[in-house]
Amino acid sequence: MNWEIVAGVEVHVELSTHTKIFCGCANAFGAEPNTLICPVCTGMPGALPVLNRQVVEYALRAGLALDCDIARRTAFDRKNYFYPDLPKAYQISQLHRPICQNGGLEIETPTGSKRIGIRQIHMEEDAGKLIHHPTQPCTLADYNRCGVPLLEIVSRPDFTAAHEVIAYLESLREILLFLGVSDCKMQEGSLRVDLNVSVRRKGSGEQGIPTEMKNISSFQSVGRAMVWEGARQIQLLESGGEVLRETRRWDDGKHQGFVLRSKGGAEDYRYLPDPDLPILEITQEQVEQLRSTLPELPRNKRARYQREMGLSSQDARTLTTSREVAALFEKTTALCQHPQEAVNLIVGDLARLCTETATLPENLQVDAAKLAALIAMIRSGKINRTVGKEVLEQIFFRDADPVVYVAQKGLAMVDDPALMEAAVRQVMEENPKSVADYQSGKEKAFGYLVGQTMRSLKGKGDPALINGILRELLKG
Amino acid sequence: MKELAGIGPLALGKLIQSRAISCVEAVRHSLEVIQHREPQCSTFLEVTGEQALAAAQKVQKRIDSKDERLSPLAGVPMAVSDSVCVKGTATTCGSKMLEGFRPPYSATVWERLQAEGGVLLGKTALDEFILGVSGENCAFGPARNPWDTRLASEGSAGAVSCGEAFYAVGSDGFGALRRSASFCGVSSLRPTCGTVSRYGLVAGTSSLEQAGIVGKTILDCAQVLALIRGKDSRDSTTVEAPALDWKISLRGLRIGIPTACFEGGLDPNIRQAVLAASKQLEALGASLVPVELPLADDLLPTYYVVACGEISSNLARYDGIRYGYRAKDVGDLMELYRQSRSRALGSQIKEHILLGNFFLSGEGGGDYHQKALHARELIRRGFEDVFTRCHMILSPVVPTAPRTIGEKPGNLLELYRQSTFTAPAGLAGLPAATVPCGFDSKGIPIGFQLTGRPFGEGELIAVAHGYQMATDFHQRLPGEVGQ
Repeated sequence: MNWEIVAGVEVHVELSTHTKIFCGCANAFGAEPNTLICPVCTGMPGALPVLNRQVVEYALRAGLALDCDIARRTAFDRKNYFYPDLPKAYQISQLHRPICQNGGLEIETPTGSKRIGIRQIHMEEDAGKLIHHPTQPCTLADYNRCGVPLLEIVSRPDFTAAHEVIAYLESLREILLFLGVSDCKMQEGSLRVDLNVSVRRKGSGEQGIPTEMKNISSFQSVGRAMVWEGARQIQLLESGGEVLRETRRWDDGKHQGFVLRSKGGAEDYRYLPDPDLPILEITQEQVEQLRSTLPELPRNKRARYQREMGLSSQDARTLTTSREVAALFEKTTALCQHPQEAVNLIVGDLARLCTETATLPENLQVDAAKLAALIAMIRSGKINRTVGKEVLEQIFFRDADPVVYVAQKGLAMVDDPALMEAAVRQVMEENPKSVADYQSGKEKAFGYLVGQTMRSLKGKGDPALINGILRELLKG
Repeated sequence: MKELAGIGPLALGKLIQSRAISCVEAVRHSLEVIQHREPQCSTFLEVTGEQALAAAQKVQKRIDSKDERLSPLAGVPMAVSDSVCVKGTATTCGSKMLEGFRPPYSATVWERLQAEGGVLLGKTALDEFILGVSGENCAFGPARNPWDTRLASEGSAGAVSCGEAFYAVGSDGFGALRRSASFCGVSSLRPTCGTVSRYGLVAGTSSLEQAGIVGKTILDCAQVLALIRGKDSRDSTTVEAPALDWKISLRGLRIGIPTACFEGGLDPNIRQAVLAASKQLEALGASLVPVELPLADDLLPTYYVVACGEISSNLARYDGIRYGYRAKDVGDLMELYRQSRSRALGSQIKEHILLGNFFLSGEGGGDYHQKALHARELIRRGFEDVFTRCHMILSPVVPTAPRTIGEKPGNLLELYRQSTFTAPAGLAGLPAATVPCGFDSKGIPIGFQLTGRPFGEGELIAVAHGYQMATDFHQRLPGEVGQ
C-alpha cells in the first residue's frame, strides 16, 4: 500500500458583529423566524447592500493572526445560483480579489510542528434556512440568517493525516475565539467545515481528483470522514475505477459518506463583480493600527506561560483553550503573584465546577480579585485546602467575598496549640480501641485518629500540626 | 385651469408659493389632463389620484405655515416611472413578474422629492425592467407618444410632453428615457454615475443605470437634480459630487463633434436638425471641435455583454417564492422556478438572461464578461482623453426615426443600434442631457444630446439652457389626438 491521502478544508465562520454584513439588521442566533430581516437582506427589488465596516475589521484581524498578505484593494463578486434560502439568487462573496491571501498556521504533530498553508480568506454573506414542515408536505423559509457575515478560510491541501486536520481546526478555532471575531459553535452552525479529499501514490506529487464532504458536525468526525473517504477512493482506484468529482454528505452515525450531488465538471456559478459595491481600499495605516491591537494569540501565550511562569505544557494548554480562562488566569496571577497556585485553582477545582454545572468558558463569571484573595488565604495558612474548596464554590455560585465568608463562617484555621491538643486528647479518650491498636503496631489506626480530630475541629485544623501532637501524645 | 397648459414646473411652483393657486388645484388640473389624455396615451400604469390630493393638502399646509424646507417645486404635480419604489404603491417595473408588488420601502429619490413637497400623480409605463429601446417593451402595453400615438414612448416622457405631469423621474438604463424624451419633444437629464442614489430603483443593469429626469426644459431637470442628488448612506456607490452650478458662460466652452457619428446610417432629418443646433451653439459663443469617440466599434458589444450579465444576475431573484408572480399547480421546486419565470418574464428579457448566462459562464468567471469589463475600462479612459480636448460631446440621441408599435426590426442588431449614442454615458458613467431641436418630415420631434465629463452636469445644463433661450422647440406642444 503506497497511497497517500491529501486533504484541505474550507472553514466557514459566522462573525459575531452586531449587525449583518450588508444591512442594519441584528446579527443574532435563535430569534423567531423572519424577525431579523429587511428589504436588503431579503433581496427586494432596488434594495442595495452597504458593507459593514466591522466585518472588514474582523476579516483583517483574522488575516493578520493567520499570517496572510492583506489586499490593498478588495472587491466583492456575485456567486449566482438558485435556491429558496438565497433570496437574491446570488451570494455576495469574493472570488477575484479576496481580502487576505497566502497565510499559514503552525500545528503541532507527533513528529514536530508543521505549517499548513492558508490559500485565502474572504468575506461573504450567509444564506437563510429551510425548515421542512413537521406535519405538512411543505417547506418553510427563515431568512434571519441571510446576510449574517461569514469568513471563508480556505486551507491549502496540506493535510496528510486526520490528526493534522483536527489539530489545525482546534488551533484555528482557538485563534478566532481569542480574536473575538466568532463564537465558533459548530452546534449552532457558526463554524462549519467542508473537507476536500483526494489520494495519490506516495511521493508522486501529483494531484488526484478531489471530492468534497459536507455536513460534518465535529472536528473528530472531520478526521473520521477524511480516513473513510481516503480509503474509499483508494479501494476504488485499486479496483480499476475512477474517482468522480462530486459533493458528498458525511453521516457520522453511520460512519459513512453519501453522494449529495455530482459536479459533472466544475460548478458554474457565473461569477460577476458586484456592481453595487465599490472596490474597497485598505490602507497600510489601517492594517498597522489593527496589527498593533491584536491580542496575544494562544500559541504565544502557551510559550510565555511555560517560559516565564514555569508552567507545564499541559497546564499551559488547558489555560489557553479559551480567551476567558486565559484572561482569568493572567489577572489572578498578576494579583496573587503565584502562577502555580492560580493554575491549581483554575485547572483543578474551578474546571471541575464548570464541568459539573455545564458552564462554558465564555460564560464563566469569576472575579480574579476574589480568586487571588482565596489564594492568599491558603498560602498564608489562614485556611486549609479543604476549606479552600468550599470557599471557591461560594465564589463560583454566589460571587461571595472569600475574606468575609471565611470570617462569617469561622472557617479560619485553628492555630492555638492548646485548643488543638485538647481536641486530640478528647479523640483519644473517645477511641481507646484505636489508641490500643496503634500502640500495638497498627499504623492504620493513626490515620483514623487524625481524621476524627480533624472532624472535631470541623476541618479547620492544620493536618501537620495534628499529626505532630497526636504522635507526641501516643508515645504516652 | 386651462391657463396652466404649457406652463413649466418652476413657474407653477412660484404660483403655488405666492398662493395664486393651491396645491390641490394644481393636482386637480393634472388629474383632468390625465383623464383627458390617458385613453389615447396610456402613459400611466397607475394613477394615484386620491393619494395625490391628500399629499397636496399636506404640502399646502406646509406652504401656509411657511415651511422653509420646501423646494421651489413644492406642490408641483409630478410622476415617477414604475421602476421607482414608492412605499405601499404598486411597483411593477413594467413586468408581469412584479404585478401587484407593493414595496414596504421607498426609493431615495422619491423620499427626497417627497420631503421637499413633491406631489406624486402616479407611476408611468416603461420597458420591462428598463430593458428596451423605446418603452414598447412594457408588459402592460406601451405608453404612447402624444405627438403620434402609433409610436411607443416611456410614460414619463409622454406624460410631461402632453402636460399630465410637470416633471418626471425614472431610470435611465439603455437610454429609452432619453430617446423617448427626444421623440416627445421634451428635455431630459441623466446625471453622472454616483451622483444620485439608486436605492429603491428596481435594478435591471445596475452599473449602467442611473436616475433620469424629464422636464419641459433643461432647467426644469436641473432643479429636480438639485433636489435628488447627493450621497446616500443606503447606496455605497454614491459620492459627494461637487456643487451643481450651471451659471457658466458658453463663451470658451468647447463642444466636441464626433464627425463619424454624422455619417453612415444617420437619418437625414436628424443630421440636419442636430448640425443646425451645433451651428446655433457656435453662434452663442461655444466653439466646435471635431473629435473621435473611443473604441467606437466596440461600444455596443461592450455595452450589451455587460448589460446582459447584470440582467441575468439581477433578475434571478424573481423566482416566484417570496413576492411577485408565482405559478400555481406546479409539482416541485424546479417546476415552480421554470413556470413562474417562463410565464411572467417577457421574451426580450428572457433573451437577455440567456445571453447573460452565456457571457458569464465558463471557468474563471465568464471570459466574455471579463473582456467586456476590460473594454469598458478602456472606453472610460478613452473618454477621459476626449475630454482633454472638449468640455462635452454633441451628438444625435438616436440614429433613425422611431418605429411604430409592432413594427418588427430587421434584426436584433438593428434594434441594438438605437443605443449607439445613448450607450456611452452608461458605459463610462458620464452625464448626458437631451433637448428638442427640430421635427422630422412626419412632425415627430428630434433632439440632440450632450454627453459631458464626470460631474460636468453644470456645463451641460448651461449649454442646453443657452440653446433653449435662443430657440422655441421645447415650447411646442403636441396637438390633440389624431392630428
